[in-house]
Amino acid sequence: MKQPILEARNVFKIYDMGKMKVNALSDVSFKIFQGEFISIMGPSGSGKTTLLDIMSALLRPTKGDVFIGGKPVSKMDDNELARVRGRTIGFVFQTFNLIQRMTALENVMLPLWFQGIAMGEREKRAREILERVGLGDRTHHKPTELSGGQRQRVAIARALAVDPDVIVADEPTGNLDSVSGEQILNLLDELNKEGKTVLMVTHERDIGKRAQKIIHLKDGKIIKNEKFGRR
Amino acid sequence: MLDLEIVRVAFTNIKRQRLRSYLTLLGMVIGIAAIVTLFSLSTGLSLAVEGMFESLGLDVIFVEPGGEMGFSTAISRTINESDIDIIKGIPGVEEVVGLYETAAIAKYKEHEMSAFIIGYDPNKEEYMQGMGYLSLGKGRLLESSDLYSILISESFAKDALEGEELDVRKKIEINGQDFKIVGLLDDSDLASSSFGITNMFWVTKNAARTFFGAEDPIELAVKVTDEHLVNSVVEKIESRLERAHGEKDFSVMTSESLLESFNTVLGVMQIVLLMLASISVVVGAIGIMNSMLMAVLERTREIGAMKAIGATNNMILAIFITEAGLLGMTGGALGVVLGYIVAFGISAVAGSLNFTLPIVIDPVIVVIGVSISAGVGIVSGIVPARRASLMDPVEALRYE
Repeated sequence: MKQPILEARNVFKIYDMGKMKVNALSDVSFKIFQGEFISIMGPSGSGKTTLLDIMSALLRPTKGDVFIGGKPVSKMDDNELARVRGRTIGFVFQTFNLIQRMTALENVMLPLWFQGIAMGEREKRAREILERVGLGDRTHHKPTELSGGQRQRVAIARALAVDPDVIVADEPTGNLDSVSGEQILNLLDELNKEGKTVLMVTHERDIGKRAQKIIHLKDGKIIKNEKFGRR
Repeated sequence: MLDLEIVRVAFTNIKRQRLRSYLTLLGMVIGIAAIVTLFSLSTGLSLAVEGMFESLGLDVIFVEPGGEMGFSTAISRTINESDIDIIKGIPGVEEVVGLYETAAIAKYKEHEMSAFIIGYDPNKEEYMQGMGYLSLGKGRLLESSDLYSILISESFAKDALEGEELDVRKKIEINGQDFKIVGLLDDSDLASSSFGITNMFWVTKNAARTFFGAEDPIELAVKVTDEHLVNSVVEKIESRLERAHGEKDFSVMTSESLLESFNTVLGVMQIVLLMLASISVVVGAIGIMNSMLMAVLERTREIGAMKAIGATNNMILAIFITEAGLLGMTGGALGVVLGYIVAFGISAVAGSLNFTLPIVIDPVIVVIGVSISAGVGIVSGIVPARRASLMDPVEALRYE
């Protein structure tokens, strides 16, 4: 059987709030395979962002384990986790989280720098990817000089820079108007068709339906697994 | 793994720092500037004074009144005329020159001025010149037969009287007696102006004794035949004069020992000023730390994002420490520039007062100044950088 790229096995995330313990996730297990497009949906407070953080190795589970390429997160220290995360997962955030002081090109080069890629190679790759997301003529603009949709495309380019196994997107259209949002979703679609695995959190069903699979969360548990055929 | 890129990234970050961050650098700038100014001025002073003593000659010994090696002994008269012969009898002594000094009031027309009278023996003129005294600018030097003739310095002739210049052949009244100026001495360099004292009136030894009651010389300058003999001659002068006087009421100094005592004083001054300057550097360090703590807080989300896209804790640490070091270095570089500007300014002012104070841009001081400030920056950056590196990525990303 094919090995999953990411796998959560009986994951619990419990926040200790003094007298109260909050179960953000209780006994969640699921696998993501190469080439899948999965949406995580659920009402606010259902734990979808926590699940995304845990699947992308930003957060360690309280109990259970997460496997990245078959390797358990619990066996890695913070520095190793950062390196593995850096080359396996590309992040796209709702609020973009670009470095304001750097140009689009520099932002896209950043993860390559963290991976220890040489300067010339970094710049070459970053240019190609910005070209790919349609920003070939905006390489020297700073985020403040770009529209929301353009900023999110820079963020996607940054996520793609290290050629990661999975693109993880947390409400990627949450801060965009509908036209730009549509363009971003189309871009994610295209990337998925080119073979990239995509894991996306959203609370809008219309957006969630673009995936092949929707995982519905409620009160920290997976309550439904909805599958669609590849469109 | 982390290449020079880190410096470029840090530089980008600093360029965007707010005005507040630059203001916190002021402490560092002032501290380093103070250190640089201090070192270049004291080096300049050292050079100037060394030059002066060298022009006095290494083969000259001074015998002055007062048991302590002091500067305030001009009034006491403990050296006798007979001491000259005692010292002359010491093997290795070539010549002994006595200086017959006293103070007087001089008058020229309606002007009155205080005068520092120095009598010397014109027969020993060449020794005086060898020691840097009596470099003639205009007119002639004194002769043994001169009784009513004086020499004054060129700068005194030019500047002492308002609206009037003294010159050769003009007459000055001193203690009720008229004297004729026969020569002007060139005192354009510090040694020949005797540390900036310009109101020296040179007369013959006979005149000093006849008109000013300076029977005995105030100080003696002893020329030895060979500079290697200086130490043994010093010892003999001390023992023989002490026997003759019955007590050690004089002090014997060489150019070398004068220079040493000067350098001791200068060294103490340097240490005190250095301590004051280092307070400023400490203030600068606190400023950088504060600025970096603010920067870490401001960039919390950025730190979260960098961690998400693969920056390890160590990289975040390195990024912020580099930035702090670069910030410190910027302060240091500005400080070095400012320090030299101030030093050259002071030197220019001193120059206009006829005191040559050479300022040399010393690459060692530049390197030390910049590296101290970079080092202080790095140390100040450790705490903020650690704070940044240990941030939890999830919390940092969602920080409001």
